[in-house]
Amino acid sequence: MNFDNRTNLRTAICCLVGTCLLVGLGLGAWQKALIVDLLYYPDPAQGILHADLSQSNEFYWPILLVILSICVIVVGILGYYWKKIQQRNCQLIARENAFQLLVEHMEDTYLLYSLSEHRFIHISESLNEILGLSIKQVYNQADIFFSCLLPEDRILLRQTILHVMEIKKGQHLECAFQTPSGEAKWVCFHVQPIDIFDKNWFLLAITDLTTQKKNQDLLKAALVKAQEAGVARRDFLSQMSHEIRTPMNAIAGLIKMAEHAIDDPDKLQDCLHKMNLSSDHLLTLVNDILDFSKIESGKMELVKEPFSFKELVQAICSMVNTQAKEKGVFFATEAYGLNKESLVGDTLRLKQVLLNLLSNAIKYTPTGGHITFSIRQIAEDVEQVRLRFAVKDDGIGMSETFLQTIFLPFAQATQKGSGSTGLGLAITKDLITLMNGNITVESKLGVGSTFTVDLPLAVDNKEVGIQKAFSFSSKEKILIWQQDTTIACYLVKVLNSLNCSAQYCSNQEEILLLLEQAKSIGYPYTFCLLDFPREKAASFLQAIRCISPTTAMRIFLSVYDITAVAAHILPLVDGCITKPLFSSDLLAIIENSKNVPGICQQKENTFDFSHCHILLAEDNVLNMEIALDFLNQTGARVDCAENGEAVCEAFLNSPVGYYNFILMDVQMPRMDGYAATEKIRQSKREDATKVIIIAMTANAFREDREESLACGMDDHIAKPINFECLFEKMKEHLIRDGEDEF
Amino acid sequence: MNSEYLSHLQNEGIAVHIALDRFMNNESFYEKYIRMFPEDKTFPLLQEAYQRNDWDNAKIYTHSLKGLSASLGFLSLSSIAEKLLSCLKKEDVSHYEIYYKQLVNNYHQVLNLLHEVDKKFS
Repeated sequence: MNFDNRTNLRTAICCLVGTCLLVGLGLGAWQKALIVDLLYYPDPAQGILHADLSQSNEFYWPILLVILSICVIVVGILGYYWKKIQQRNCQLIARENAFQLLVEHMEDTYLLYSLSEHRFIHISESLNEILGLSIKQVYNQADIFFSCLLPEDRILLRQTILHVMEIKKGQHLECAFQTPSGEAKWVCFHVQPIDIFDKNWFLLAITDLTTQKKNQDLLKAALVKAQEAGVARRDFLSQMSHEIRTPMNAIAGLIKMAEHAIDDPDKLQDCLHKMNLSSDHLLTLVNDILDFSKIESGKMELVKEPFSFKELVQAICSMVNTQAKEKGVFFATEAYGLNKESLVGDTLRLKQVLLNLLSNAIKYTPTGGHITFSIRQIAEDVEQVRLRFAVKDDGIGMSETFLQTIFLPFAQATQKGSGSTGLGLAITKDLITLMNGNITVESKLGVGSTFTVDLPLAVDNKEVGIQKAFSFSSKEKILIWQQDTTIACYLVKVLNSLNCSAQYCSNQEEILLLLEQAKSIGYPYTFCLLDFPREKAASFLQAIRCISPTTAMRIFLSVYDITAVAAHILPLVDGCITKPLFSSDLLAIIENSKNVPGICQQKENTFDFSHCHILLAEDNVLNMEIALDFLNQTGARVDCAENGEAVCEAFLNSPVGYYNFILMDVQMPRMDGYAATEKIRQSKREDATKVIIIAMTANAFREDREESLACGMDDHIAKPINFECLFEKMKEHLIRDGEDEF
Repeated sequence: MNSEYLSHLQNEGIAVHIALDRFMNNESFYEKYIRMFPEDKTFPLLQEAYQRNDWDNAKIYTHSLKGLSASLGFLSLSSIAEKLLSCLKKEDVSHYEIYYKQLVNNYHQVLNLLHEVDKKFS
């Protein structure tokens, strides 16, 4: 039996008992009076019923009992209603608690507003969390809440509330909301009128849509991007089929023309030349597409090999200079603060990236324009350097719209007549990303463009520091003038750290002044590095020579293009050095030009291997002759073998201990260098493990070195051979073997 | 650079400075081998191997030509030989044709250049 039933039962019993009591007493009293009347008062007028009972105390008690019974009934009824009220209150409390719990655990925020009182009468705790507003402040001043809305949204919300109150039906409204901290939120207000006791209330339920909105925006952007990519891919395919068909058709047409011009050698030659151009273009297209698909499918792997950064830059500049000259564009290169010249990375891809940017610069810079390629070291630690490459041109430039799509694949292809696949810059960006670098571009239509690439490159720890490789025995006093003061400062710093006394000056007048001063105090300059003077170069150099004659000071000009130096200038200087200036080049020139003027003096071959027998394995005749010439210069006795079998035969037929070195080309016909080495090492001769075998391979990859060592070789040198390096290695091995005759 | 012959080659795009560094700046040695390059048999042997479809030997001669041309500063020739070698190793016959044609053209360009410079300085 539940609470309600028990209460009802109790109340009913109470009332029933009270009623029974009342009726019983009433009947009892009445019956008693009747009997008395019949027995004792035959005259009814004298009976009790007709007596003045008020005068008799005998009849008071039934009246009291009636009153008591009525009280019992009233108490019973009151108890019943009391219990009912209690029950209702419990229900209300439970409901309120449940509502509070619900509100607190909902993601939405609820506010109850009284229009008659102009204040919030309920605010959920989450208001502070979601919208960053103080609940207390909003209670005190409702305007704080509404002021976070934009003026137009505030008006809109007000209209919505009034409308909702009028139609008695809820509505919702989405608008922006600015939190007190300045954070912009996107919220949805659900406005619901509260129609209870004629109260003028409305409920404001607030849903935070910020994340949802952001996700929607992202999805929209992704959709647009995907649609654009799809369109670009479609355009690309149609463009590519056109681009590929054009040279293909040209080649087909030219073949037909060539067939008809068999008897006309000039015309035939012209056809072949044009076919060559078309096939080159076709090849570029195919290569770009292949590279791109490789990157897209994640199959592009970068190699990490040690390389000479200086050689890489020089090779790039050499190629670009030729192209620039052909087009009549001025090309300048600058290198700033490069402390490490031996780095580790993928040279092929690095070259591809830089050549792509430089070729584009040439392509889009008209004749007479300028291109500057600068390389700057921006950070350095023990393991790596961070380099910044910038390619700046004053060419046609790009519009803002075009810049936004410049690194997107296929985007450029849609530019009719661009003559490119539209993949070059996309490939460049992807390669840079693979190298953990980044690329940016600044451009203005009609003004020019600057592409900047930041790349981390590992340092080859085997490199002897540039500065350690040089030590000037005699004190050099050096004067430097470079139009770019940053470069001059850096060179001065490097030279001064090497026991030189270097100084830079800012203009031509200062050079003459400093030279005069140094001469007057009897401490003249011994070396002078000058940027090529733009005006009156000859008279300026003559003025310098008047102060410091050839015998006293060496003068070198730093130039972009040695061939551009006029013939009458050359006798006034000791040599020219091509830009970009690398510290090692400058140091080598200072060192090598001490006694004899002129650039690139032949290095004296001081290596002496006259007591050594060397077996040279090389399949290429010309390569063999070159190596033979250099080895003969050291006094070594050299035997040659053109393949692996011949090497084994020569070694196995020689007296024990005859050969000190075997210089082993790896790739040879009949038997390669690895197999030959293994055969020699496995022979049971006493000197089989002692003879020093140095591999000569076209690759300098770490795997190649490891493979050489794994098959029993002692060392590895990359081809093309730098003979100085080879001789140094040979010398090291001999010293290691205890032969200290050097 | 003392040799006018080499200076001229440098101006024509040959990487003389890089090659000279490997030759210990011995200009006379370098000039001697540059002049010997047209007589080198590697390229004719490569052509023969190509005509016979003898890919094993084609690989060996391409490899040789790559190293030799790099030694002498013919960087573009060496670069094409490197690409050709890569195709041969991957047995990518379709691209081999294209690179081979490029190699032939570039080789003849180098020979023509050397011939012209020879004529000028002989």
